[in-house]
Amino acid sequence: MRARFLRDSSRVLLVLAAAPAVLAAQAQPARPSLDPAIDSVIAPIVARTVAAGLPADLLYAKAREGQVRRVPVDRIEATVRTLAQRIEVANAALAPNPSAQELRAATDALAHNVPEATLRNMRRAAANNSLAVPLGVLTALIARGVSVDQATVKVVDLLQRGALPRNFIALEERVTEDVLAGRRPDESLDLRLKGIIPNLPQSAATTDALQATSAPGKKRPR
Amino acid sequence: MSFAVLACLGTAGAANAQWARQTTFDVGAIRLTRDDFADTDGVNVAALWSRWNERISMVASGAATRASDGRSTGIAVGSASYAVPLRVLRFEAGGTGTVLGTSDLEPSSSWLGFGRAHLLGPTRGVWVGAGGGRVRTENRSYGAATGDFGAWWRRDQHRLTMTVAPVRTSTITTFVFDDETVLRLRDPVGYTDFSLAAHGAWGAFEVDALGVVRDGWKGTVDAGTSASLAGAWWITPYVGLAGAVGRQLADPMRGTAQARYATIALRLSAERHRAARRPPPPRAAAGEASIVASPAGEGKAIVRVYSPGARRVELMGDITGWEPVELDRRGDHWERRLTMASGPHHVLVRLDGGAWIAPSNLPRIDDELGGRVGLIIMP
Repeated sequence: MRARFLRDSSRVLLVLAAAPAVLAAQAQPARPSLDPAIDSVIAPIVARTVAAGLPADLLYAKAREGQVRRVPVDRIEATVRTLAQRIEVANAALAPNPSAQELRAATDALAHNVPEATLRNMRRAAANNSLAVPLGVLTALIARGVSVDQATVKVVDLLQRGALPRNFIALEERVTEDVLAGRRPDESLDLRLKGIIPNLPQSAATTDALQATSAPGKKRPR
Repeated sequence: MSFAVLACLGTAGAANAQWARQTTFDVGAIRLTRDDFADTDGVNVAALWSRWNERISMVASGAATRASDGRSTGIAVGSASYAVPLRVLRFEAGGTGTVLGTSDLEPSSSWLGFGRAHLLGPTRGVWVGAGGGRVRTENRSYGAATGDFGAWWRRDQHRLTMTVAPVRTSTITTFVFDDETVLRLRDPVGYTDFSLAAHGAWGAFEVDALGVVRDGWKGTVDAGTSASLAGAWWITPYVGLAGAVGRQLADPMRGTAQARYATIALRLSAERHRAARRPPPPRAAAGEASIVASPAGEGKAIVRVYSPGARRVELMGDITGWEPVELDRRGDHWERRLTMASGPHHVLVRLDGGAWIAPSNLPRIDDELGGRVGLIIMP
């Protein structure tokens, strides 16, 4: 019995000892196959990013995108450098622990002239909830033609009202339908928000309370 | 203030607002078990009508039961409120009315007005309120006062609601003597209901659970507990199968008695159920492509591309590590199951080995490499 206990214990210890190495391997950024020329020009940028404790996956992905699309190396280097700067800005604005998806979404938003202060406001409004979808929708709205000012105000407002990812997705889908049908983007955003707001948790809370206390649908007749 | 006045005020104040709505109709069978009656089976119909926007909430419901012993019961409940938002607070005023009729008893009714203050966070909130009104039962009318304290928490489609509701009212006990003299005694009662309600939704399935603990602190009202479980399965966007089982405590405010019940019903909805809201496939002109991605669980998504006339479709983007992947033909579209985290992704498609293009239904953004990519957002 004692021998078996020791054998099992040693297995557990071996697994525990190996765990840091496994975790470290998982933490390594994904390295797509890159041409040596591209790899060498982005290496210093990647090194600075990793030294700052930031994920380098986005940089490798952008370099790979440039390589596949046969973009000149100097342009890839410039683009990756700009992206690294945006990752730093996004990481600071979305502190304390932004996810890789949030950083990806935030760099897109920054590239579309969304102010850094907006990212901070969004983090405050969303607390610990992921901002990946709201940031993606913010960028999509701007790309559809909604002004940066209006899009940022409305998205922050929705977050403060407790909007969920599906609410943001629904908003983006409806604005897209309108824009493709010829409606002005700013006008569509205003209109579609009115349809989204009643379904937000805060708006529905009053109805929930009404149903919880009067419970009309749940009471059974005698 | 009457419901009509409230509704008019609200409608005027929110003329530009759009309404969220829920309208369902249930028809099915019920089994009721009461201490003072034999078990009864019957046919049950119920309806729920609810409309709300940022300021106004209106809920109306009704149910009717025809039991196998020939007794019939009908209940109608209406509630309406108007809320004024002020930063993180919301002040609400409204009223609730109930009418209960049974084939062998006098009808009873209650009318209550209430006010509430809500403190709202993005995903949680609390409220405190109080109300008062009149209850009429067995030809006697008396006052009622209520308080309610509640808290809610919501995550995605799931929510938890806790309420504490002290009630001060009266009950009527009727004695019929041999000489047919009727004596009705009024007994002031006070009790507090502590309830916990949970709602969960997973695709086409919805589950509601409710637990109530009652503490009686005045008069002869019985303390006790009750619990119920209700579920619905939406077979089509407008038709579902609903069932419920549980035990309810007597409700002196509405005149309903303590009972156990089990129901099964066909549920019809006037609104398309959200789990079945699959948007129509996006259209694309010849030589163009449109794309949709649907969550497939475990971080995966089914990516579908529509492109009339195309014989070969490839996809490339951050979701493929910027490696071209060929999609499989499935009827009128091409598809592939891919790992796709929640959030925005950059994608391009290639038709019949031609140039890489951004799908026409997506917003196109500058990739800062001299081209444009499509921005697809995964829920």
